[in-house]
Amino acid sequence: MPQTATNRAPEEDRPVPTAGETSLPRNWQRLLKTVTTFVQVHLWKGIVGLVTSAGVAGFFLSPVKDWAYHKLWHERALLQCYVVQQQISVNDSFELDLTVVPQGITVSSGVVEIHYPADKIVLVQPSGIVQTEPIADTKVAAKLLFRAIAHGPASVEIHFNTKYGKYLFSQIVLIREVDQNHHPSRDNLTGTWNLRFGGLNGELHIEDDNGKIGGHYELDDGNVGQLKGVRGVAAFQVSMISNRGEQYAVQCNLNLADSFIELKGDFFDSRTPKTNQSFYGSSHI
Amino acid sequence: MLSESRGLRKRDRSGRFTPAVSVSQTNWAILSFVVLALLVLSPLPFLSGQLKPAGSVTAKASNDWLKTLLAKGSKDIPVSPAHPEMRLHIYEDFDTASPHYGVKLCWLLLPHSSIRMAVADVRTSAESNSIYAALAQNSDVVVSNGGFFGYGPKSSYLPVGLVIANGKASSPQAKWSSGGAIIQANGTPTIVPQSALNSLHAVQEAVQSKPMLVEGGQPGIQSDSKPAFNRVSVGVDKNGDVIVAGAFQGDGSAVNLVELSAFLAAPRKMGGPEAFYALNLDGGPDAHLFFPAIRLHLGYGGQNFVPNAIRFYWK
Repeated sequence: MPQTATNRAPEEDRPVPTAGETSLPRNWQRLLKTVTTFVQVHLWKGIVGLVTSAGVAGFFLSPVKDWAYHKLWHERALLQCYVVQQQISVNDSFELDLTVVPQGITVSSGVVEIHYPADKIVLVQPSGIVQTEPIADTKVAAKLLFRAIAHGPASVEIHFNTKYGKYLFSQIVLIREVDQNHHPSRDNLTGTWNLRFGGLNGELHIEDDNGKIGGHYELDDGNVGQLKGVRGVAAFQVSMISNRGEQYAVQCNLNLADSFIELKGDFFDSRTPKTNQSFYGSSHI
Repeated sequence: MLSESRGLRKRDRSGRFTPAVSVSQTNWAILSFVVLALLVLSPLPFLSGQLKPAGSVTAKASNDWLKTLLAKGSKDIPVSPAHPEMRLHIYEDFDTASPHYGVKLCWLLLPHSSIRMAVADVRTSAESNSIYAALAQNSDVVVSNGGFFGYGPKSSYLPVGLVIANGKASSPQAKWSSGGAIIQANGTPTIVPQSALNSLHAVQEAVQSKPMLVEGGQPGIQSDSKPAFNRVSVGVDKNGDVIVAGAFQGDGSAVNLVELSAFLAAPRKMGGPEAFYALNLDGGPDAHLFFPAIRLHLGYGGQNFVPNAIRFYWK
């Protein structure tokens, strides 16, 4: 087969590609060089931009963003509890609403755990742990339905744990005795009385022995104690001795209204004996 | 015909009479007697008569406490700058182990020749301290609470028993079977028993109350099952001098009537007022004594209704 003349150099004449060179055809090499030059001159900024964009996009799409966000902006929330019923007696069901009030950023999702004295109350609903979604605005996070089983103060502790915060709220609920229909009369004050003690509500359980007053009291904040003193036809003079050691001197008028009796006056805390606060008891007759 | 085995005695074979009770029966009788004697003399309270009804206070128990308290001595406070010899005697129980810890007993002697009384028909609801302070006048030595009160129409309060103020009766006499009144008929305060109330004339001031705590120098109350309260009493001694006495405790439960009666009758040499007659006034939160010159209030000072009060003043 005849050889045709070409301008190709013999294989041995061709220069051996050095490092950085390819064995591509020259036009390809030229194209590659042009592209390389272009990239070197113009496109690396774009690539860097792309990579950065991808990184940023990845950051925002990944859980790291959330973590970093909460490192910068701390999650805070206020827990509030509201007991729907005004008075709770033994065997009553009552609802306790837990409200979460975010203080700044959205409160992340979490769980609510409820601790309570099982000898006083039982949790009827929900049964188990309450899970919450992220909370951006004030929201009732849980409605807890309890049933009272025994008389006395019951402390309900609510632990609200989110990914970025732990919150605790404690609420004392006073479980009253069932009304035994021992209604006080003007001749004998024995019985159960509603009590307004300064800013607190509560109950007096008075035992009246010919004018000598005994019994006990309970306040909604869990303060309980004994009553000791005397009464006259128009006066009620007792000491309230708290189980915590505090002592209050009560000085009241005994007012007869049409359908109830009032104990109206002041009480003095033994720690601040010159400061009086209002004392008001009332009972149906 | 009686058989030989009947009756107290029977004949033996020799024909002599022998006791009808056998030896074994005699032993049983002796044994029963011994057992009975042991039971009666035993320390068991229900057999030796030591068991008393719950809550009652005997005169002996109150006397023991009273003697101990009086023996400790009084704090004597002048209550009238013009008459420094006139002193209020206050005995306070500082014994923390005592069931009467914190109780204050007090008495004041007012010479009948210099003292007059005036009844104030108050009928006001307010703070007791402010009511008594407002009543007091410059010449007053002591202002005391008056008699009892009860319920009137429309949930109001009314005095119970005779109240005469400045010659005018503001409340009629109660038909009680006991008690009496502090009166002023001839310019001198005195105590009269219930039985003498109807025969009195020209009474200018009077407050009826009950019971009489001391009669003829003897304690008039021997047992009381009622609780202890703050109490106020007025009386007279053998000379006719007026005695104003009281018992007070911070929580309103000072003494019962047995203890107050014993205190009022306690002789002067023991530290007591030695009343010849003494009348109980209203007690509990209503018991109040105010000594204006030294601004001393004894008794409950809070919100109350005061039906009437007795002012003792220099004539």
